[in-house]
Amino acid sequence: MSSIERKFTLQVPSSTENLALIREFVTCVGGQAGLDESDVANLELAVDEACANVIEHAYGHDTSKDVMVRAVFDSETLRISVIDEGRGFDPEKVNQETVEQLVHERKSGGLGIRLIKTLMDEVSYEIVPGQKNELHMTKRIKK
Amino acid sequence: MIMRKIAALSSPGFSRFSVGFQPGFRRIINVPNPFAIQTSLEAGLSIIALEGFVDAHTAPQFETAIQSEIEAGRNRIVVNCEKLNYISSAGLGVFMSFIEEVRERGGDIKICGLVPKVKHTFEILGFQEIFEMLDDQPAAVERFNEN
Repeated sequence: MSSIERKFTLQVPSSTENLALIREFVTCVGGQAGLDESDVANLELAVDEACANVIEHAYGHDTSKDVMVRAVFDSETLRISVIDEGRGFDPEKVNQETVEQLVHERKSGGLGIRLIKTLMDEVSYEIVPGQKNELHMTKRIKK
Repeated sequence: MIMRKIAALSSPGFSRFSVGFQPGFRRIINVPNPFAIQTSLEAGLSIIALEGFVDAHTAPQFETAIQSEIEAGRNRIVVNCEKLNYISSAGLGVFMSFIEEVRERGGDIKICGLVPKVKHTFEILGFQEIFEMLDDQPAAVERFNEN
């Protein structure tokens, strides 16, 4: 029998200053959803990475724009969506270099998408550049 | 020991945000973990101590701290993470972008004092294959002295 869904949303200006607030929000929601400490930490990092990508790449640090984080959970899964209206990009097309290659090239970026895919159980995208981009991430709740 | 405070306490200052909770689930969100970074010199090594969180907002201060040491010709660097309770890829990227340059100059960046949660983040990406991670600052200093 499936339980009742609970929904939470957070909308903040597109500024890296607000990443701490976003992390606190998803940590609260993850705890209420029943994730264990390790999965809450994984969720916190994955959502931070997704929102940092939006702030830096989709909106180019334009603080007049907003980032929305939507969380929905029942007894089995927690689904988080990061929603923006900026320049969308297909993460599948991002060149996934190894960490060794990134070190060799002295790059500081290129780890976010890799982390999100490692930390979450499912990841999918809906991209309409300039209109609405949604990154959906799912975490199964361990019994 | 010579202490040089580089940066401290990121400002919270959230002017516009909204939180939607279903009825019965309202709560106030507190944003903890102020960020601080302090650089000191000990036995010919640069010790960079991180506190709080390193994310996309605070990573530039960490980058500036390492850059300052390299520009000053100090390439033997210990990053003390005993008081660091969160790091994202922005922080990991700082380590990643400087390590080759530092090693080319005959130095190294050694990491010490990682709490389990932060150590897990480093290990997800295989940083333990690239960086030496020691239990605490004395162990990191001793490791440098062995080389």
